[in-house]
Amino acid sequence: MSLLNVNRGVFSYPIGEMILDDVSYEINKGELISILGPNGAGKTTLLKCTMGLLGWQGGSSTLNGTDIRKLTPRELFSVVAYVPQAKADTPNYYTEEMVLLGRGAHIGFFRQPTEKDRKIAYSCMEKLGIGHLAGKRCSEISGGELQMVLIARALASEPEVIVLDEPESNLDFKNQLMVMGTLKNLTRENVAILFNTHFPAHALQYSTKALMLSKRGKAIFGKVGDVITEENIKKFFGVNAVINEIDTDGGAIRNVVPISLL
Amino acid sequence: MLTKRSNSISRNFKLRTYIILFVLPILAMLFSLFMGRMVIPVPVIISSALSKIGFGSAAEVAIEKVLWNIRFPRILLASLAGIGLSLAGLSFQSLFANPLATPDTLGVASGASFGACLGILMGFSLRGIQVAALIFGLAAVSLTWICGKQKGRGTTAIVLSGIIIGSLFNALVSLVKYVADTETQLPSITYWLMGSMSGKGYSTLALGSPVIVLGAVILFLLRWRLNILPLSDDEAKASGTDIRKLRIAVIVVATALTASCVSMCGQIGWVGLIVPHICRMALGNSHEKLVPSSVSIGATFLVIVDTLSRTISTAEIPISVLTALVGAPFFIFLMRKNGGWTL
Repeated sequence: MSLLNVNRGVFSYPIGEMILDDVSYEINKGELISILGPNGAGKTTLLKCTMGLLGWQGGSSTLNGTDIRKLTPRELFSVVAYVPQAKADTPNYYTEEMVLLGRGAHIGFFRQPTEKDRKIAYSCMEKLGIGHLAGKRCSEISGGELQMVLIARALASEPEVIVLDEPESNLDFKNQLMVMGTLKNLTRENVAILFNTHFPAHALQYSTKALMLSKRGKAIFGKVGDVITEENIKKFFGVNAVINEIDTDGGAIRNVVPISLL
Repeated sequence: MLTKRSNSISRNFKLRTYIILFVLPILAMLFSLFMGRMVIPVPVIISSALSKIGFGSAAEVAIEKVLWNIRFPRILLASLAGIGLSLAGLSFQSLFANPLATPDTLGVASGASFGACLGILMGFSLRGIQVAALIFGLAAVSLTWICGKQKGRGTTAIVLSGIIIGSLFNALVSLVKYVADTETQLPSITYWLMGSMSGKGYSTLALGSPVIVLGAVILFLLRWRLNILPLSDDEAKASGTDIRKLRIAVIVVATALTASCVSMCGQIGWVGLIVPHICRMALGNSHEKLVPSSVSIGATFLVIVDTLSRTISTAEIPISVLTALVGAPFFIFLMRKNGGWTL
């Protein structure tokens, strides 16, 4: 039985065409799965439907075999954590206060965080190398640092799956490497990672499996090397691209270079 | 290492802050007991207060009467109203993720005022007036919410909608005034609408205080959970909180606080905007600090303003006039100094 399973999911917004049409995929412990697709294909919608923030119109998501519609928010989100895009209008909490909010599913409705909750929050910050940000406000740190704070918040809920919405867009090279490296490290601790991205190269370099969405709501899912091919990129994105290998000290890395419009 | 240091910093900070927050309202109350047409020296106040719990001797009868039958209930009323309006403002700001959301700007105060006016017109008891204020306050905030709801965290739509709903209920208040009896009802409605603490005894307090105390206790218990409110919808849901339950709880509590204040002492503007922002500027945006500090600063602020309203001139100045006169410049100063308002 897989950890999180999407079975024949169908979704469309009230006005407009089918966004997701019969999408199925699964996530297991320690996997890193990337979701790719052109603008407007419904990558974010797929993430939201997968974890119940939007409701499937057909099909279902199951967590450890249970339909997530049967779970309380507390049960669901103590296993699944969500990292939204780091935006400027994030409430201006101190970073440690923001990370502590990740403990929400573990603290009773009328209760306060205990010393243990605070320790977990701090240790998540230290683990991601952002302990030095404690005592700063979210408005005082960079976009990359804010993204790391939001990942730390997700981690503070001690989840089995972390779902991230374009975690590395709007970041510079260094921050991209930091964020992707962090995600890869987390999979070594058996956390499953699901994220959507505009960078096929990141998917190839870091993820184990990939899901590619088309404009018509169809999806293909499989091993990353089987999904991200020159042919599929042509079909799904409408561009000619070349996938090449670059030799580095750390081994060969595959890169995707868009060449021309069809 | 780092963790330990930042932990201990925040703990020291906490202790000092809490002492200040505890002492401020007590000083304000002493100041208010002391001030007035009859100036009563602080030692007399203290010995009189001690005599109440069995130490020392009481003061002269006249002084006792001024202190405990006139000034003290009024001070309690001002503290409770300050606490209620500040907490309501704080809750609304966080609920709508909007620094401008307050009982006034959302039309809640106008709705509650209409309910209370209607109650006076119909000759309801104090309790009936309070219930009417609560019902129309809830109606107003619901209408504002429905009209101003939009995708994302739009800050203007909700306040605009609040202004529309507020003026709708103000028009209804005018209608009530128009049909009210000019000899008996109209003066009392008009005077009461301006907001006043005067001439209210322990019976008014007994009416409003349970709601305000209960509301404050609920918000105090929820103080950490309130931090979820300003997050985006998806983040709030994904925090593992039943966000619908939380929002409904907070909106009912905040409206009940507003309605209780309105039915005890009329419309007093500005408090719900100024006090939470003073606390935010001083202590940051975590409600763990904002809830207790809004209680303390809210009580302090309104006790001082009310004391001024009855001592500046021989005739009493309506308190809402003073909160605006004191509040507006002070707030502009704070806003410019800190470079804008944020949550």
